[in-house]
Amino acid sequence: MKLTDKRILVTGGTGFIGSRLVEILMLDHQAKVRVLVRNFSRASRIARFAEVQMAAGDISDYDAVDRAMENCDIVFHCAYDFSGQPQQRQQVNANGTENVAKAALKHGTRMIHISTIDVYGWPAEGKLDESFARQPEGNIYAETKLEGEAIALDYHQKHGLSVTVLQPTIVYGPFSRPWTINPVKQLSTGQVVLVDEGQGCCNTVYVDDVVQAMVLAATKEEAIGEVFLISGEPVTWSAFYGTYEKMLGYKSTVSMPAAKLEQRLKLDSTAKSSNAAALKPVATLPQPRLVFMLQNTDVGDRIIYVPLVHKFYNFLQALPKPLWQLLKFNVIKPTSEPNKQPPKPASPKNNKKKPAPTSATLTGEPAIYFPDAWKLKLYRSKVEVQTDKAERLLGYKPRVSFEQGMKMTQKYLEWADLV
Amino acid sequence: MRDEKEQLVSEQRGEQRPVRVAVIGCGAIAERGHLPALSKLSNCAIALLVDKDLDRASRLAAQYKVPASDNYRDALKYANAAILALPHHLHAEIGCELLQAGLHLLVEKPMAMTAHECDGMLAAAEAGQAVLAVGLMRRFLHSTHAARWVLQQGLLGSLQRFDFQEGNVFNWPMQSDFLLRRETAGGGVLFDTGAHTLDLLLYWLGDVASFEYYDDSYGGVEADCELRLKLASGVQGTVQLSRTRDLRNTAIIEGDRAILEVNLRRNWLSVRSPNGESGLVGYGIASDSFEMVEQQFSDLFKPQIEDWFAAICGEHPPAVPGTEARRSVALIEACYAQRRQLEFPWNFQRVTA
Repeated sequence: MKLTDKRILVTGGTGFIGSRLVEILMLDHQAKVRVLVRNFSRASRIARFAEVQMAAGDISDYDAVDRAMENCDIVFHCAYDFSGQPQQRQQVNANGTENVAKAALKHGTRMIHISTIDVYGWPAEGKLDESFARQPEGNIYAETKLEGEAIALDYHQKHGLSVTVLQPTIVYGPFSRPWTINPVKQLSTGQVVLVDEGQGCCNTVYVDDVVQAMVLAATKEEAIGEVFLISGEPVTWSAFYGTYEKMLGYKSTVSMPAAKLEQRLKLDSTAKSSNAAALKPVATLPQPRLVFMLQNTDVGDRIIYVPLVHKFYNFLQALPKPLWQLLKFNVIKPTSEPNKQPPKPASPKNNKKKPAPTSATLTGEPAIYFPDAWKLKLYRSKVEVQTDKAERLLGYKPRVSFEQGMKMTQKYLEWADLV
Repeated sequence: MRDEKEQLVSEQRGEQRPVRVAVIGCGAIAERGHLPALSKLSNCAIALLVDKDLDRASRLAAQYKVPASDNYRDALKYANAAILALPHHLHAEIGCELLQAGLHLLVEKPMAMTAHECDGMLAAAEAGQAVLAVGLMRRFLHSTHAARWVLQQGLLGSLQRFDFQEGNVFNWPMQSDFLLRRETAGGGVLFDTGAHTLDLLLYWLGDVASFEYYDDSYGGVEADCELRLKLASGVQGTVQLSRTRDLRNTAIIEGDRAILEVNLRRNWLSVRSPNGESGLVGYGIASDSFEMVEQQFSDLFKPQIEDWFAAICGEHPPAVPGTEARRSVALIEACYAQRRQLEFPWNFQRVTA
């Protein structure tokens, strides 16, 4: 089914899934695409298309959403704002989804809402389908996504909005930060701790299959008012990380029993400390710790352009080095100066495998990426996601096997010089 | 006009009054680079800030206690020199008018959208007897000069090949979308980052004889591109530029006796033997001292403006005159004229409904 000449609005079109959706809509469907852009700095991938309209605006601004929705047949709502404190985050994302639903209703636009499998809270085992209880507690992302689902479905039930909710699983592929870039970066800068030999079930789905499901959902009448799990080929976590290890050419995962990790989390009594351990990044230059965190962590990356944060970031960056020395305890020291290793051969393509990790953490010890409480649950879970409903009503069938998907992902990682 | 001009130059030479500088275009580069640098210089006064967004100009102007305007022609009333930091497509049109009127300009890179526009600006500067310098600030890295010296002295032996890589996941804090639209930006990463990278390539290695150019644009502005070049000297090599990848950000130039690697963004270079057994690593040094200093992006605005001021005062031509900056603009223009599609290897199996 093609969406040729359909007028389509994409929120979150500068993100991982949204950007790929825009590419496919432009290249394969010749659709008329408009993207609501909050931060133009992130819009490089979609700006490659002259025909993509970039409408400046934020989902939390109803007028901007309303203007962008004008004359659109379909809206794919992929936007999610990671910035701010939990309460603020909840508000921005819930209000944002409500704004999208309200504007879609006003303009008679079909809405595809992108949620997440995380709303089920990763039960220990079983065959998971859409009838399972939602248990997002303990994960602000899952909680706010579930709230978004409720709002979208409420607009369908109460106002007749044509809406479909999709819940993708572990989405990997080119440009995936959570499940491609970050795992590879972690494996190449330290050791990643898997749970119980990594025998939990990793319900992977290649990004193009998610886009396939989105397009199907936008075209099938049977999909209206429904929720669909979207997954691909399940593998073990050991196989998932092992594939990246093979690309890197060395092993960087270690296994720990779940009970031990639980004990460790209890000792790290606050969630904060466990997250900090999971983040343990590696410095390449001596620089204020906060600057480094802002530049190199997911959260930092997302809040760096909040005006006050950015001002503070600029201030820290502008600090003269001698002053950093006074702030000794706040400065990350590298173990070796960057670029002092012999440079790679000057060939356009360097096919050599990256060396095994030798970097150090903030404290000078090898980085160990422990799972936080949520990831511990995820890595332990043996649940197998069922996509029968999507197959039945949408005609969805994953087209990319894990092997094929990882082959394409490897090409991306090589091109991005990450493996 | 001419008399006034001569008087002005003689006044400035005698340090009777500072250069009065207007900053036209108050985007991120002006806020983060030019204005802090200007405020640290003793022989100049910030005379006026201009932006079509008057609120933004006023906010910054209040910070520096200077007037603000949304009309670039006011620069002629308040200043005798101006920094032009406008969207690329306005450089030639506004630059020509101001140069013709005798205002000295430091134009942000790229100098203009086309070589033809550059020629217009050069003619206007001559007619107005104004100094035209271009903000290719990496020319002020000591390593840029050290690398040129290494090449000129023939320390690498016979040149074999080169590989330039520059790229980061794009995060420039843009005030508008002008960098993402072809009509205002002129192009994507090739035009924006490439203006710097190709300027250095031409400065170090000389003219290009032939090339192949690939980018990932579909009518919009490219995020990634690749050039395969053959120089007039016969040496071949590649340039990769990216807004989606964190690349090496260095130039590697291989000779049969040694390999030079230069960081493209900060003062750092190395020269080593082809087998990697021995070599030298460190900072380039300034021509007037043996001091080894680290230089980052933000350290380069001040020397760039000082060089421009010295040129205004007739001490020497600017380090990057319009004629030099025109070279990279002409190469970029030629690349776009011969572009081929850069296909990504993971695109071949797009899965669609």
